[in-house]
Order: sequence, then C-alpha cells, then structure tokens
Amino acid sequence: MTTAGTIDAALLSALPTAPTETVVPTKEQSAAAATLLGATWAAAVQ
Amino acid sequence: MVTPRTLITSLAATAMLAIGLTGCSGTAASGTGTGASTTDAATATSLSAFGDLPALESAAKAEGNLNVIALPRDWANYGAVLDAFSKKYPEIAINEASPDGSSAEEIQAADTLKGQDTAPDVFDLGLAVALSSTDRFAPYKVATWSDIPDALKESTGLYTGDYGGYLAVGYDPDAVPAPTQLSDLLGAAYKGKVAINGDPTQAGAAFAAVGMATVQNGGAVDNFQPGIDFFSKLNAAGNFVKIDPTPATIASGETPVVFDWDYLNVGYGTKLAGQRNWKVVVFPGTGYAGYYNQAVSKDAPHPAAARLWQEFLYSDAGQNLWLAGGARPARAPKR
Repeated sequence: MTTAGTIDAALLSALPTAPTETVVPTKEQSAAAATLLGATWAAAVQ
Repeated sequence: MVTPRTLITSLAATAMLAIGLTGCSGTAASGTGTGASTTDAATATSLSAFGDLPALESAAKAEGNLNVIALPRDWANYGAVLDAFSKKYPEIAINEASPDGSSAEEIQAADTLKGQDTAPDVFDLGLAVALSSTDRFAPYKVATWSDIPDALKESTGLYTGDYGGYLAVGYDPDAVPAPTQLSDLLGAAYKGKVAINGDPTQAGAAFAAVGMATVQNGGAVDNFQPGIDFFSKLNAAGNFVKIDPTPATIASGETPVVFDWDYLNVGYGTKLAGQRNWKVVVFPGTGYAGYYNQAVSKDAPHPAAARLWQEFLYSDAGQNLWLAGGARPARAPKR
C-alpha cells in the first residue's frame, strides 16, 4: 500500500512509535503459551 | 475476538443459479462471461474461483446476508468498518451477533448453530483460539494475499492476521499514579484497580496481557510462566480486579487501570472524553505485539458473503479503516 500510495500516510504517521524491541509470537510459541495458561492460570489467580 | 476479546468477491449479470437468500447452497454462477459455469462458493479458496470481484459481489448480494459475531463497534474502528461494508453493499444485511463475545465463544456459536441460517459466516479471532480451531475454517486467500507478511498468515489461508498493535496499559491519572514500569502496578496505590480484558485462556487481549508481562519480566513468549507469576503476585496483592473492562466500567471507576491493546485503550479515552481522563502507556523495554485473525467458517450459511467480507477487510479501504482506529493493518509496514 505504501508503494502504491494507497495507504493513508497521515494516519500511519500518527501511530505511536513502536518499541525498539518487539516480540511477535509465532504460531508455535503461542500454542505453547496457551497450553501452559490453560493448565495453570486459574490456580494462579484464584 | 474478545471485548474481553478478542474476520471476500462477483459475477457479472449472468445467471445466478441455485442461490437462495439465506442458507443458500453456496453455488453461484462464476466469472464475467456467459455464466455457463458454476462455482461452489463454500469451497472457493480465492477470488479466481469466482472469476473476478464483480462475480463474487453478485454471488454475495444474492445470498443477501452476512452473519458476523463478536465484533464490538468500539473495537478497532469496527463500527466504521461494518458501516462502510453496508454502505458499499446495501443488498447484504449484516447480522451482528454477540458483539461482546470472546474468540472462544465465536467457535462455540459456530458449533452450536451449525446447519442453521444464523450460524457465523466469519470469525475474528485471537491467535490462540485460531490455532486451536482450524478444523472449523475454510481456506481462503484474499486478492491482496501477497501484501500480507508470511508471519501473519496461515500458508493455505485458513486464517490471516488483519490488524493489530502493542499491548499497553491504560489508566485514569485522576485515580492512580502514572505507572512507568510494569512492577509499579504491584504497589499499594493500585489495590483493587488493575483489570485485564477477559480470561487469558479464552480471550486474545488477555492472553497478550500475560505475554506482555512475560517479556517485560525477561521471559520468552513460548513460556508464559513469568507473566503468570506476575499476575499471581498482582492477585495476591489485592490489586487484580476480575472485571472485564468496558468503557462503562472505566467511566464508573471500577477499572481505573486496564491491560489492553494500544488501539483499544486509545479508543477508550476517545469514547470517554469529557467523562474520564485516560492515559495510555507502552512500557519501555520489550513490546508485545499481536494481530487479530480473520477466518471463514467452513459451515458458513452465506459462503460468498463471507468471502466478500474478507476481500473488503483486506482492501485498501478496509486496511485504512483499521488505521483510522489506531490499529496497525497487516498490509501496512511496521512503524
């Protein structure tokens, strides 16, 4: 969209600047985390 | 999706064979040509199956309905997205079910309503639920598929990341001190004041809250234990309030501190302008980013409309509507 000029550049520039270090979990990482959460979350916050 | 939360095609004016207004067979004439061939919309995996966008549009208009679920109008500009689709396709009625439902509840509804005209056509899901529900999806690759980063999409099109942001903390500066780091929230000033957006075993935003707490405490995203430990401490301190936050609970003062996506927290502030001051902070250090995913139900009662919805969401117009809501569209570069 940027190359084609179809993105709303003003809106894009208004986004908060992303943190210098960013984590985007992969599918596999999310699956592992979900398994752990399912097993332990309820007891952790009861 | 979850509000404690957590979403494509045309035939020329050729024969529209065997399409009912609701609960249709999903078979449509395809292509812009003579209409001699037919396409089973329920098995179409890309726009090419229909021939072109006008062909898909015609098929979807003939179905006449689109069933969506768990799309809060105040979530990431969904109100504007729904209205824009309705304005572009007035022949297609959007039936909005359970706007405040969770990602898990979307799947439950598909199972419960399977075979009925009221079953969801499409889903908008946090990644965890999308991963565990792929047997409910029909693969579909939108026309702009190549613009979407590989990391955000399932390779066959079962689900595709659409919009996202960073997990942030919103707070009422008149009720609590401004937190500058995650551990601040364990302090006495936040007693009974800190909420997350849903149950992290069911809701994408809450799942991400635990993920953010994990990476902020030096953990890795495949092991949320540091994040779980953080919320256990928050609970033990009496600071964790088990109320699903909404603009109403923020306005009432029940949830003066809320873990949620940055675009949703910004939206809360916009909605409550004049009622509550609302600040949003992304803590320094490692940021946790996440995207919500669109998917077509394999049991969609309106399979062409479901695919047209996907095409709309990933069009330039759809992607810019996410930007207008403060979210980061999948087809936009990282900023």
